[in-house]
Amino acid sequence: MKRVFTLLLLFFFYSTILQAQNVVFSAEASASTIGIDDQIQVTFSLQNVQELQGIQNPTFPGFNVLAGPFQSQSSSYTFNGNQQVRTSTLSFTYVLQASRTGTLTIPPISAKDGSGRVYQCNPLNIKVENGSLAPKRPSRQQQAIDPFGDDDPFFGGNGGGDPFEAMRQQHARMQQLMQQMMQAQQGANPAMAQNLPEVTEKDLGNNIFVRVNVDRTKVNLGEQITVTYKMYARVAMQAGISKLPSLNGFWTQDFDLPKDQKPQLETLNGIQYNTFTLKKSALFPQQTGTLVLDAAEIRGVARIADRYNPYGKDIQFKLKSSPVNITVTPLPIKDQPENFGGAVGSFTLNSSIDKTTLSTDESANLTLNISGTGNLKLIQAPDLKLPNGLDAFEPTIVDTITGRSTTISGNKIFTYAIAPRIAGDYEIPAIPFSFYNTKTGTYTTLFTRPVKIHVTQGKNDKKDISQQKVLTDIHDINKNIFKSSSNTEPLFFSGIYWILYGIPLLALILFILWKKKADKEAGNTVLFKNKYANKIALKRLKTAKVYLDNKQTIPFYEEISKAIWLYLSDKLHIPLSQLSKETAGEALRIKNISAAQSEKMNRIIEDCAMALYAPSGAAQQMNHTYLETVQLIGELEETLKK
Amino acid sequence: MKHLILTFCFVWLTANICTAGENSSPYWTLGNKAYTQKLYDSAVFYYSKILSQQPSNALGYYNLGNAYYRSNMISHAVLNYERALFFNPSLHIAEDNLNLAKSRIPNALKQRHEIFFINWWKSSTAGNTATKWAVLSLLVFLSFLALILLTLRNKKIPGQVFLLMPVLIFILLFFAFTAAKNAKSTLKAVTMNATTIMTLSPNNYKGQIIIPEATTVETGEIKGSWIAVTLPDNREGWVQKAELTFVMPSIKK
Repeated sequence: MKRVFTLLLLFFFYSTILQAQNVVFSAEASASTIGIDDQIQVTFSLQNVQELQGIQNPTFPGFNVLAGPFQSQSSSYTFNGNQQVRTSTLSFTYVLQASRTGTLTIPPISAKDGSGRVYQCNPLNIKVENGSLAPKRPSRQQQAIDPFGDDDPFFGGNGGGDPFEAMRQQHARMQQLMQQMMQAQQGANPAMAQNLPEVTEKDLGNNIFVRVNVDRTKVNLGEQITVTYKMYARVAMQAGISKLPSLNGFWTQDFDLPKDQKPQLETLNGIQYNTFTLKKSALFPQQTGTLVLDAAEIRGVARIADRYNPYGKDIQFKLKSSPVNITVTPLPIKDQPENFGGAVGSFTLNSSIDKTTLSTDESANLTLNISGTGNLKLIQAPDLKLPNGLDAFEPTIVDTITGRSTTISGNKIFTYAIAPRIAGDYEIPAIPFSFYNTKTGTYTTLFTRPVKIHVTQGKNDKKDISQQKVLTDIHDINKNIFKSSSNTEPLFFSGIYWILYGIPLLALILFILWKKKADKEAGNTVLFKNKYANKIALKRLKTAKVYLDNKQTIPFYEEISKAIWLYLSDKLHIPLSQLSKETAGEALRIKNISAAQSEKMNRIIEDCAMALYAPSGAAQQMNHTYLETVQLIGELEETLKK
Repeated sequence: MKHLILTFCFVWLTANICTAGENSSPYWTLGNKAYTQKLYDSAVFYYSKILSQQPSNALGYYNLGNAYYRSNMISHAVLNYERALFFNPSLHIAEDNLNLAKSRIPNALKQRHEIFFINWWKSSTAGNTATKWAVLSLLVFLSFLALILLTLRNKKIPGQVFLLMPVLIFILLFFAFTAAKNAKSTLKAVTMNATTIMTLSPNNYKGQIIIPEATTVETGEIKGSWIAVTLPDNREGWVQKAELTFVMPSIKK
C-alpha cells in the first residue's frame, strides 16, 4: 500500500509544472438519505494538490466500512486560450453501511501539501432511515428468503463450516466471475476493447496482475485482518485461482462475494483497469510472530492483439501474488483478566435458563449466548462456578457465523445442563466472560446476571450423578497407533470351527468301534483262551504224532499230557497250579460231562504218567493213547462248546 | 481327549496371531494431525483414503465420523458411527458419539422401545456375541461327547441328559448362527438427504411420511428403485433406494 502512495506522490511531483493552481479538497456522498440496509459511497477527492505530504485517515462514526479505500487518480487537459492546463484529481472512495439510524456526520479530514499548507474537506451529513431505500437486487432478495441460507448451521452454507459446500460455492463463483470477465471485456466495455491492440505478449505482465490488499500488517493476536486478492486487467481474459494460499497460523473465514460480480473500474497510476475481487477473507492469527500470507496462484487465458487475426489470439498466463508479512504481537499482559480465554473482538453476552424451579429428577439448561464480531470459533467455554449441590456437565457448543460482509460476526452458544443433586434454593453466580476489545485496546469483562433456582425433592433419588455421565461433546478421535484390521469371517462360518466339531465326534466313533472289537477279542481273555484251547491242543497232538512216528516215547507222552492238561485248564478256567485229576473231574461234572468221558480222561492221564515213569516203548500202546486222546478232546470240545 | 484340547488351543492361538497384524498408515497420522488442527475437511479426506484400503476398520470409521461431526455433516457422521459399530459393536465411544450426533438431528424420529423379549433377543444375538456363542456351543458339544464316553465306561448317567443335551446344543447353534449372520452383514441404512419421503407402497405417493436426515432404518425387500424400510419407531414403508446409504460398505443393491 505504501509503495502505491509513493508512486502516486512521485507522479504528482513530476507533473507539478503542468498543474493547475486551485486546490480543491471535497467529500462527496452518493446519497444524502439512505436506509440502514443500504450501502453508501463516500468519495474524498483532492484536486490539483502539489507534493501531497500526507492525508488524514477518515473516520466514519456510525458506519461500517464495507470496502475501500479505493484510490483513483485521473487527470484531464483543458485549453484555456493558448495555455494548456492540466487538472489532476486524486480520490479515495469508501463503501459504507450505516450501523444505526438518525443523522450521522462524517467529520472532515485534512491533507497537507508540499508547501505545508493544510486543506480540509467538508463534513458530510447523512440521514439514515430504517429499512432500505434502494431497490433491492433480485439476487440479494433471494438470499434473504432462502430458508437454508448461510445462516443455517446444519444445512450447508458456509455458516455451518461445511467444507464441501464452501468449495462448491467458490467454484461456482469462479466460473461466474470468469464468464463475466469475458462478457465485460468483449461486449459491455467498448473503451477497453479499444485497448486491445495495444497489448502485446511482452507487456502482458503490466496489463494483468494480482494484488493482495491487507487492511493492516501489524495486529494483535486474535485480531481480524481483512485480506483481499484482487485481479487487475486491461485485456479480455478468463482466470481463476489455481492454488489457494495456505494461510498457516490463521483461522480464516471467507467473506461472501456478490454472486454476480461486475468488474469495477479502477485507476492505478493513471491507467484504468478492470478489477475483480477473487477472494476476500478475514484472518485471525492464532500465533504470535511474523506470519506469511503465501502467494496465491492464478491461471487463465488472455486475448491479446495479433497481427494475423483480427480477433486477437489467446495466450495462457500464470500469475502469483506477492507474499505479505504480517506481524502478530501478543495481547497485552497488563490488566489481562484471569478468566481470559483468547476472545478478541467485540462481543455481547446474554444468558438464559429454561427453568428456575425444578426437582432433583430434572435438569435445567443454562444457555450463554456470545454474539458479536471477532474470532468467534476460537472462544473457549467460560468456567461455571456452581454452588455445592448442583452439577454441570461440559457444555454443548454451537457456533454460527451469520455476518460475513466486512467483519466476521455471529454467535456462539454454550449450553450447560445443570443437574441438582440436593433440594434447596441456589444461586448460580454471575459468569464472567472476558475479551480483548480491539476498538478500545483494552480488556472488557462481561457478566451474566446471577440466577436463582429452586430445587424440590424429586421422586427418584439419583444415586450418583457422576456415573450418569451425560455426554455433551463427542469423544475425541482415536489417536493410538493405527491398527489394521482385516474383516475376519465369523467363527461360525469358518471351516476350522466345524473341524473342531468333527474331529472329536470322529474320534469318539472310532473309539466306540475299537472298544467293541477289543472287548470281543483282547478285552475278555477267558473267552479268548476258551476259543483257542482246542486249536492249541490239536497243535500239540500234531507234534505228538510226529514223535509217535519216530518212536520217541518220552517226548510223545510229555506232549500228550501237556495237551490234555492245558486244554482242561483253558476250557475249565482252572489255573494250572490248581489243576489235578480231582479238580478237573469236579469241573467236568459241573459242565455235564459224562462219567465215561471223565474215566477216559483219567485213564489217559494215568497212562501218560505211567509211561513217563516207566517207559515201555510199545508202539501199539502209544498209538492207542494217541487215538484216544484225539477222540477225547474231540468229544470234550463238542460238549463244552454247547 | 488331551490331544484334542491341545489342537483346539493351537488352532485358537494361530488364528489370534494371524488377525493381530499391526502396521501404521501415513494417512492415519496425517488425518489425526488435520483433525487436531481443526482442518476437518482434510481429515475427512485422509480417513476416507485409509478406509478405501481397509473397508472394515472400525476406528477409521469412528474418526471419520468425528471429522464429519465437527464439520456439521451430521448424516455422514451418523453413517460412519453406524459403520464403526457394525465392525466393532463393543466400541462404546462410537455409540456415545452416535447418540450425540442423533440428538442434533432436527425433528428426529423417536426410537420406540420394543418389548423386553425382542430387546433381549437383539442384544444377545448382536454381532459381537458371535464368537461367544460359537465357543459355548462347541464346549457343550464336547461335554456331550465326554458324557457319552463316560457311559461307555459303565458310569451311570441319567437318561434325560441325553435328551436335553442335543436340544441345548441345537439352541446354542441357532444363537451362534444368528449372531454370526448379524456380524457378517447388516441391513441398516442411513438417510442422507435433509428429508426423505416414505410412502406406504412403491410407486404410490399416498400416505407420505417425512423422514429427517441421518435416520437409521432397517431395509428389506427391493422392488425396482424402491426399497422397504422400517423406521426407528417401527413404522414401515417404502423409499427410493437412492435416498439411502447402506451401513455395510460393500452392500450394493
